[in-house]
Amino acid sequence: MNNLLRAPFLISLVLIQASPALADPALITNPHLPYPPGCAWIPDPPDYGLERLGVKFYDQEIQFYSAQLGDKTPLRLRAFRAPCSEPNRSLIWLEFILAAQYGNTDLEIQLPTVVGEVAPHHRKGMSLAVEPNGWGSGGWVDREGRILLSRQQATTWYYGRPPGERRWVFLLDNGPPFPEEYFENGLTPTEYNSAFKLVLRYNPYDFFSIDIPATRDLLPATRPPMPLSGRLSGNWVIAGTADQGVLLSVSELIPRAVFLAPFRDVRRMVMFLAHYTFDESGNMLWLTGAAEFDPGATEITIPIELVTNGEFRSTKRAEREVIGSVTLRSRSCNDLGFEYDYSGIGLGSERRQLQRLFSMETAGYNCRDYEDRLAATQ
Amino acid sequence: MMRYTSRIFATLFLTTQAPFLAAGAYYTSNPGSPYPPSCITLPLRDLDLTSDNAVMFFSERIWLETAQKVESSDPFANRGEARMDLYRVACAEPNRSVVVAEFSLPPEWVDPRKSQLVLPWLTGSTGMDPFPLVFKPEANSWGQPPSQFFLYKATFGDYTGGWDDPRRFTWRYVLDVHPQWSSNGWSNAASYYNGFFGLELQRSNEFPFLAIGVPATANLFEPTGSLPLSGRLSGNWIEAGSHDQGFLISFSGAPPDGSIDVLQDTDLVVFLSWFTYDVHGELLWLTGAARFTPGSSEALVPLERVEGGAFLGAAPAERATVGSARLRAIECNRLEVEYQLDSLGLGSDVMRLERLYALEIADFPCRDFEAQYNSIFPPQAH
Repeated sequence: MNNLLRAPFLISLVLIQASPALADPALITNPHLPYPPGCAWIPDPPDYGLERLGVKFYDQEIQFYSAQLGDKTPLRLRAFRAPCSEPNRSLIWLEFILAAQYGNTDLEIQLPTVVGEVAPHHRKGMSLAVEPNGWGSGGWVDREGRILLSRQQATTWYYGRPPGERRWVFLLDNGPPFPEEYFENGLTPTEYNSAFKLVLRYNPYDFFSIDIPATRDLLPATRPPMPLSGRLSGNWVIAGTADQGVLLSVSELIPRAVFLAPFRDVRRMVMFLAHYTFDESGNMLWLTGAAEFDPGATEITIPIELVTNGEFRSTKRAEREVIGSVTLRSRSCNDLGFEYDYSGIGLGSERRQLQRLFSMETAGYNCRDYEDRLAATQ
Repeated sequence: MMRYTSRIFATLFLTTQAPFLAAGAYYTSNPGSPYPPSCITLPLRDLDLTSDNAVMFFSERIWLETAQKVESSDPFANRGEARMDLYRVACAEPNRSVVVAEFSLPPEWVDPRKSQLVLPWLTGSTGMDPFPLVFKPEANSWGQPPSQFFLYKATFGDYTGGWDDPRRFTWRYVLDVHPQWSSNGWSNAASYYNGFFGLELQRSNEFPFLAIGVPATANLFEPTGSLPLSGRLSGNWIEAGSHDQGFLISFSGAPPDGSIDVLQDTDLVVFLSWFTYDVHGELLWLTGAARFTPGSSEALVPLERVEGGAFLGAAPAERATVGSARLRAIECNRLEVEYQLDSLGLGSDVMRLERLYALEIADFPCRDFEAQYNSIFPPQAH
């Protein structure tokens, strides 16, 4: 496997000239993310998974000028780092809370722009992202006017405003990847996970800053395992083996949903595994298996079948036999535990580790950030 | 109108929180998109709305609220005039398109301090069936979490056009299904979205001020018949009628070339594995990999046969190129493989591949939910 791919890749990489930036963004996601795309999840504000999964490092009252109230109005700002399954990687979340006493007041709250100061006088534009892994919709400097509007979107005579405080959660992200002649690239994953100063600015004369602690100083060494997901689909190899490998394809099962029926409870995923290798005599052997699992699972056991006596492109049914099983345990984007039991065909059982074939991940749906994938090729 | 609007809210009351957000699981894409996720790509500002596959069906100046609106009791004091252009942009999938809205400020209304539009609240309807719609700054996204729905945010102040004249003070949005609606598995959202429907615009705390007829996709476009090869086509594929054999195809980004410039576009790699049988009915697996340029809908993959290897052994096996496979993407659920395996006595032919059921890469599907759903549960069986 390695020989199959490495040499042509490296040769072609040397020959290929740099293509224009974003010449065809159709097939790739935003490569400018400072965090692993496989890490980002959306916290549901009422549940506040941030408290459970992340570590809070800032909790202060800040003030904004309210044209409606005619005075400075308090706004609570909390900041968290939440760990990823990748080593030394985390996400930074900012949460703005408007006290319950203002919950029934129509207010416009201007958000500050955010700039990361990675070294003295070395600042890089960032943004407060509504959703992770996105492109962003404008330029960094264009976001200065972002305003929270504490006002119900629907008409008041149909839906009463729910009581209580108002919360908005944003992921601290890089700014959109605008052409470089305008803006410097955002923070690298290393910078994002190191200690830096976050400057929050309303205007050139009204700003404050937060010291963001480094991931390794704030979060324990233990990391949450990576849930099995479509980001793990693709080519995998067992370290040290040649000319054989494992293909994984993680899919969603389509529930028999009906109009407005929540499919939270019926939505399942399916892992399809193909192990192409050799039998005891050195003959070609392909083994396949599929199993369902619930979203969020980190481990799955798949019954493995051997298929014999088939016919090339024929309707003839082959003979199928379950000869063993494979248990996959997900640890991170590039680390899957592979425990096989092929005793049924005399190949024994063992626990091994799967690794990505180089940095190859599903196009447009990467798991690791760019920096980690780059490191995997070197 | 009362009945019309109250039905929407009755529905919203009945529904629960977005299941995938509440699950606290890792980020999953929105399964409720009314358009194929493979159709529109980001950043939205790069979308060419002057191309042949985009049709503008509405262009007028309208009065919208501007920022600072809520501080005034005068309903007209804080309104600005903006141009709203609406487009349908065709997808490779038959009878599928995406509705894109572009707002722009006329030069006389541009004021850097207040050039922030409050987007109108939207409702779509087909006959007496209303469905809430929203403008999203990014396609394929969840949009506003339902629990924050009534706290309007992030829908204004983003100048999609940046500082580039003449697109300065323009904003682009995708017309999408409301998060509360889509998160509950509205299985026929695409039919509503791609059919003719009425679109009503409403400023806050007012009755609708504008009604627009959105033309049906089928009346504007012919099917395109080609789709770029992409990661969304990764997964399990079979030839209808061929039993106990198939393909696993994996589209990946090529390894980064070491450049610091992460904006650099990279080639893609297709890895193809064909699990089948030789002329004697013995197991045969053929593999191949090839690079191709993003945007291509075709790739030629040399096929290799490997012999003499050892189970989990480190010794290299013997490799031989035994033929080739030309892969063509027609639609999200249709690939063509033109193979040549004369050296193995298996001849040459063109095969049409289909998905194994509706299985697509989890959280990175190619088709919209309705198209996937209908491939398992045909409409007449509903």
